Amino acid sequence: MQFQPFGAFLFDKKSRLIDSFVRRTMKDLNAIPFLLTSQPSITNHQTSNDDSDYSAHFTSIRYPFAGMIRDVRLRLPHYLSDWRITLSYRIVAATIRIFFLNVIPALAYAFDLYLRSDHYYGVNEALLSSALGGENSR
Amino acid sequence: MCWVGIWSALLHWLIAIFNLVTYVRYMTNFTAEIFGFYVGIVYIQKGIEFILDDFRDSSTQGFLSVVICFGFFFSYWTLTHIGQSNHFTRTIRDFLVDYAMILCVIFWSGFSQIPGHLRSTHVQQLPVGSAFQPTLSNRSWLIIPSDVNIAYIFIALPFAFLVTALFYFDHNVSSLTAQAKHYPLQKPAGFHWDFFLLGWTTLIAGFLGLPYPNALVPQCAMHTDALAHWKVEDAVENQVPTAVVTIHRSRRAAQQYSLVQIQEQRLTNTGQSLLCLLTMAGPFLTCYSFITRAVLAGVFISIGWGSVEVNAITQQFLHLIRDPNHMRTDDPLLQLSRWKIFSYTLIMLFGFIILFAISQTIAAIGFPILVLLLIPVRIFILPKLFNDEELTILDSPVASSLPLDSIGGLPARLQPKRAQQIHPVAYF
Repeated sequence: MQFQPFGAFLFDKKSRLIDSFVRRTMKDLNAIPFLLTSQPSITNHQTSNDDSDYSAHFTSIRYPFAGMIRDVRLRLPHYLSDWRITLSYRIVAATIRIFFLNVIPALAYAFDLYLRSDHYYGVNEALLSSALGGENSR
Repeated sequence: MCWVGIWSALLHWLIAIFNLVTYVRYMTNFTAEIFGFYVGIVYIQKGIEFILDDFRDSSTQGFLSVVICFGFFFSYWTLTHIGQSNHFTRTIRDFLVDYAMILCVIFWSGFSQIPGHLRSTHVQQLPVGSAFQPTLSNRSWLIIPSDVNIAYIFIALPFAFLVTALFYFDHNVSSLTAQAKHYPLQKPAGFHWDFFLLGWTTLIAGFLGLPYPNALVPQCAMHTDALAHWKVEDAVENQVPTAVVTIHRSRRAAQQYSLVQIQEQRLTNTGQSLLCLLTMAGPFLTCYSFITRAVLAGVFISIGWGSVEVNAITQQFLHLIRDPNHMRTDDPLLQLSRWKIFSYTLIMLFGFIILFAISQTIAAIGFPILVLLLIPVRIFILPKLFNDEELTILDSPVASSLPLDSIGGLPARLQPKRAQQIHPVAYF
């Protein structure tokens, strides 16, 4: 192995990483129909049918970043379908409904904060905060 | 606040990186419902505080505020309940549920401008600044964190711990309730990545001098409800036999609605954020400035009451005082004795009272720790008071297997010991 050119070793490692990424994504995605039809009692133990102990991997403190990477891996195939939706009336109505349900309590909180923080936090801050992260609170 | 944001962002990232979000799977309905009840009551209390504040200037203003606030509450509650009842057609009901809030806000804000006695009474209105500028006119949007006394940087650290604990609970409980069992979701959840991104929004909010955004309990489930698709099927088996055998030719036969799909996409959330940004422009701010404080008090009370009304504490208590002749035959609570339900409700109420009491004292800022303490109470103390079957019925996990899969599935302690039927709540 140590007599191979350096570049070839890197290329091998990169293709192996991509390959294992795709393989694990497909395994997770294939487990979803089983999860959907199961009762809440089925844990992740029973969905993995190979030797790796799946739930311990991304739930234990010994594997940093494992949970985050797994989340991104599971949602990445859905990314295009998240955006490619047919604009129905339901979408527009839902946007408007959730906009008002967010902005009006945010304005209410803004009023409260305005008085309590000596005019530091106002309506503009509350609106920008809602724009940044959906609902706004503290 | 900027340093609280920076420390808090660091803590968020550490929690997300080291997979500590997985302990969210120990949160069951016990903790979520107590917290939801607490949020509802605090919202109502805040609304009442707003009204009391209006009594400061003159009692006429105060009484007008009371009228506007309770008028708003009554009209919003009625419109939303017609939208969730079985009256009118589905189009009208959808319209009412979608636009009830804004219609009531517009009406009751304009109510105080009706010429005559109403217009002559001064009401406090929402103070707005200039478009796209920070409220305090002598500051820019960006805060430089380095020109602060070094001591304050480290004083910010315990506050950051408390903010992180609060967000850990609030954000994740909101996520769980938005992905509850009765929603037929197809796409997987991402609790770790979500918490990581929450650290980023806290950091950005800290730098811009904004209040930190996080998911709030009432609005998240409403968002999922807004995206629900109901399918119509002919309800042949549910028709009640009556004396009338034939249906008149102008009447339609009964149809049943079932929850079939939640449209999971990113557009509505992005859309409402963009709308928030858009309404920071001048003309919209002028519109916002017409909203009176009394209407905002009514908003608080309405949302708080909505949260209390559907809460398990309220529902279980109502179940206890319900006439047995009017019970639903498939109600899972009928399998338990009334004493068990009563003691469980009392324990939840006691947890809420402790939370509420602490939040009224000077130690209010530490109440997230108390909320996190509810989880060991559920795991260790409750199994000693109730046996497994009772706990399965009374206190089920909030979400189904697919969302929980992101944090490792249901832990062994909390697995239900009996299969149970899960009924989606059909309002139509």
